[in-house]
Amino acid sequence: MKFSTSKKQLQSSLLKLSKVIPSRSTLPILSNVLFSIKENESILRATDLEVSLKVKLPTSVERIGDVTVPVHSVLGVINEYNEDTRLTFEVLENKIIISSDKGSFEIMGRPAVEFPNEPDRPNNEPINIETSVFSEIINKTIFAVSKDELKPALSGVLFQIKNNSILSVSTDGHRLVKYIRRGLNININRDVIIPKKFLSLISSNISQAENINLYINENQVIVEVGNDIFYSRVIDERFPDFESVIPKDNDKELIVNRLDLLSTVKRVSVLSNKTTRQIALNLTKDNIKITTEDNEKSSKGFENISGSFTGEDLTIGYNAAYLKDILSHLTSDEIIIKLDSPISAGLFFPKEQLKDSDLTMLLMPIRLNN
Amino acid sequence: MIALADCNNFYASCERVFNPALENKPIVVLSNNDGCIIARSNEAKSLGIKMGEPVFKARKIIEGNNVNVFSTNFALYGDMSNRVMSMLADVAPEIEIYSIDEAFIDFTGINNPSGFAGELKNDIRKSTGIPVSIGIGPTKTLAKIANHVAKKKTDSGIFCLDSPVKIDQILKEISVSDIWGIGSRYSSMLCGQNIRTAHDFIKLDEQWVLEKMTIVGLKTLQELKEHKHFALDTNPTWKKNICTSRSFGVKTKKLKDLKEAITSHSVRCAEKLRMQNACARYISVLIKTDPFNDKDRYYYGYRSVSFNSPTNDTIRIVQAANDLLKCIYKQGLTYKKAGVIVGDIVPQDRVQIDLFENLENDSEINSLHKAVDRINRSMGRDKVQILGQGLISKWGLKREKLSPCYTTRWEDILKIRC
Repeated sequence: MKFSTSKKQLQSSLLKLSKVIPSRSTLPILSNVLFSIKENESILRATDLEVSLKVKLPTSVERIGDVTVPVHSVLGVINEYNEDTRLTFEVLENKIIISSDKGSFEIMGRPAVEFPNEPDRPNNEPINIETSVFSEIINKTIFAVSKDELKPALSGVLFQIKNNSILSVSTDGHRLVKYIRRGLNININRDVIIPKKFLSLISSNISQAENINLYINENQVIVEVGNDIFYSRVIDERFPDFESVIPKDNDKELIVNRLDLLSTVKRVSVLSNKTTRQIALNLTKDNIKITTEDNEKSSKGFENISGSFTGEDLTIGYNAAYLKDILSHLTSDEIIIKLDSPISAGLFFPKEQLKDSDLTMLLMPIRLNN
Repeated sequence: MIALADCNNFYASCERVFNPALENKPIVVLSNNDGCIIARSNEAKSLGIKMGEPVFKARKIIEGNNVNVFSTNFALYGDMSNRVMSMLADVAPEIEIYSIDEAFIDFTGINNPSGFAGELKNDIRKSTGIPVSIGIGPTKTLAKIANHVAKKKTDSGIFCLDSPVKIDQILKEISVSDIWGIGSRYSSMLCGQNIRTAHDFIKLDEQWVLEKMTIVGLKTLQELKEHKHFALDTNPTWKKNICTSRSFGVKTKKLKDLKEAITSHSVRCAEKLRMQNACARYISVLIKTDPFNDKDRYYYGYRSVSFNSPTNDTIRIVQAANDLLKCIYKQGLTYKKAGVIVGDIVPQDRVQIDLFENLENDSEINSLHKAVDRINRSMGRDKVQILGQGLISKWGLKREKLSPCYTTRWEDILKIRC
């Protein structure tokens, strides 16, 4: 196998692929990228067995062949070359020789046959979605995905695709986001839970494309972005009944400037307990008093901001980190918070929903002293 | 001034309180499963019995000198400790319970600290039967040194470091390894620099101590120079994790025995959580075989699960632990130890509520646990228990030399015939 390519294109492809490679794995081959050099196209592929990425690399091919190379070693070598450097790769019995006009490096690779097979491509028609829409769905929901490996159903975002709309839901049991995007040209009905890692990977790689093609089959989801193809297993678990936990009759309503509340929460929460991150919102007719107290460090603080609250006075505790997440991901200058009691879910909405979309966020409180 | 009251040979002294025939006789107390020697009376120390020594190694000395051997009786020691600590708390505005047999006491404003300590020592001995030594100093570190002197070098068991001259003189006699907070690594390092006594230590350049021994070393040095750094910690430390694990008295292959042990440990973890008004977010279960047994291959099973929201509910904790046990149990192995760990602990009044959790029965469950805890505290451990703990434990600790629980079990109360 022998080919040459530009440093810039190779570096950009390997950086994308390196995000798929697991930081720790019991299978050493997964630290490598597969180079599959054919006469008509050169393909690079990485996988962690759950998520795979395949990219095309423009090359001048002298001899075809396949090999796997340790991505971090290759990146380490090529990173310091000038952008326009031309690099030649030659493989002699799994030994990869990387040459430039300044010198050469030898790195041991592993045979391509050891590398996991490429997932099958589905035959069904893709769903074509505008990149900005898909990106928005991911950005609105991904922060609330659970990090708990022991709750697999919650470790991804649920996509319910039907009637020209996508309903996406994520939750970690403490907060929940439900985002509906309507007005899409979609003809299929499918429910699928897509892993967070895959969505993060897509999110950081789709900015330059206008549209993406989304394929969903029984056990995998595939996204085509330009020349790159992202594969992932879907999460084969039952997503909890989210509709049943979204309260319907929260009758106390707070309208407040989102950024005012966010900056106040950020300041006050500096002094909150580092384990519980507890702050309290003391709601009266025209005022919100945000307080915190950390007995372990004998620190406390409060701030008042104005807001319009209808209903009986209420004091409710929240994890400040969760509240900041919610406030950061809501759009619109003013938001509506609908509440019921200090121990039940609060609903957060933008005061004005964006066209063709419906965003609901839910946050569970922390029990307060007494 | 700060005083440190330390019970002399505490476990041995507890055994003597209800059995005066043991006065002036050598006593040793053994660790769990009667494995090693963990406490010795002065008489046993003078026979050359070493701390931490496996009991079989000391068998000859024990049998040759009629040494009295006891299994650990934590019910007795815990209760006797409570009696001593409550007497200390009655006379002082603030105390810090440092361990089962030690407490720092605030002696601020006391005109004659030595006289007051003498009276306190006599009162404790008279009321509880436990001998204590009391050291007094301007800081906690100096109080610790004063206690060391009181124990080793006085007949009265009281020593007060109440003047700079006295402090200077005593520090010359104290080895660096006997300073509170200086462990074996730092003391070897200091000895390597020819710094052998506490007096040598306080002459060191403070910047050098900061660089070599961190801020804790520097604070220790300044405490020896009468600058107070370590205040009395009157709030018990918040536990971050709670682990209840035991080696079995008799090794077992049976899942039933493991279930009973894991259930009992889970119940204990839940009780401890409720005692500190806390809830745990995760639970882990461990089981292991004997690593020193050549016949069986060594197996260490460990698995964790997190609760939807932090809990101290015995029933939820027991259920989760038993589910984990099923996952890690392997048939045919002979198990030596089982344990339960609860972690990520948060105060129970600051629990993040979970979306998918049913809170309807929450208050009833809390009331139930409060009632059960109250009964078990007043009537004795496990008077009300989960059936899964087993009615007759075959897996419990080996405690062949257990003394009666004189103060916590009705049937063990001493009878006096007149």
